[in-house]
Amino acid sequence: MGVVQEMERSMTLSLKPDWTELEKVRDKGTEFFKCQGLEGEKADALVMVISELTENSIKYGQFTPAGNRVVIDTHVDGRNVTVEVRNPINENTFNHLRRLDRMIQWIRGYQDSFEAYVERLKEVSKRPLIDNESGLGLVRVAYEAKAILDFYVDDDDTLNVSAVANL
Amino acid sequence: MENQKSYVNEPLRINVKEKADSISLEWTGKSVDRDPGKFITPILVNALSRTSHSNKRIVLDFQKLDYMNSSTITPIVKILDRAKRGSTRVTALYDKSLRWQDLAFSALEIFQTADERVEIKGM
Repeated sequence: MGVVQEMERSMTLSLKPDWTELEKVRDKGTEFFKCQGLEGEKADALVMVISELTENSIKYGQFTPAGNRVVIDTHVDGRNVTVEVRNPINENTFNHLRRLDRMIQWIRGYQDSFEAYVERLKEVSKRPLIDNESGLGLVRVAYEAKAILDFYVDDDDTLNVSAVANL
Repeated sequence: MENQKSYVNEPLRINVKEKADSISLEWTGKSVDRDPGKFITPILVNALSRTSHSNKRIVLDFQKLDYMNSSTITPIVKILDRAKRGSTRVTALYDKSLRWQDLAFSALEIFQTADERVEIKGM
């Protein structure tokens, strides 16, 4: 994993799409938020946001030798923390993008993200035991960090998923 | 007599202690696997099946768990849902002084039953 940039209020991490990188990402996030004067509960929630978005990126990104990095931008301003995670996609990602769009719109449909989380828990709990699909990551980010989620696709087929949380 | 066994999938450890009236599963470390259900589900299902013909309570003790990803929540809620719809007695314990645990586990109160057969307790 490389630290591309670590300015006073921002941190950019670039990593291989490898699950073993996640612990380092969480450690770097904790360190960064500590430098911003954020520790304890708030920092834990923000590190969870970075971790969940990066897990999704590693799971669903379409990595090639030319585009094989996950890039995480974290920025703290006076009132908000913004986490943006980017990864390459291609035509095979269409179903994931559709699910992502549906999920974010569905979460936004709830005034209280706790209600969305509970609904999702009920739904997931009824699935077969052997089904390994979680589908809880984004709604957990919305609920536990009170974050607003969004996404867009760049012209160069890069998916950018963001979460903005109040400090 | 107490029967004890540890299951380890670094950095997660689940210590299973079987007593006369309960089977306790104590979780420690972090659950960060890509597919944690592969490790967790068989342990939970085994506990469920061992209590199906006895009146033992399953105690899921998360108080010493440092972190879990969202994929870890899935097998836990599946077991709680099955316990709620069945006859198994389950208690989930968490540390309510830890904000992340309070948020993550208090939401599981939706699986509680009125007769306290399935209960979620913040300690």
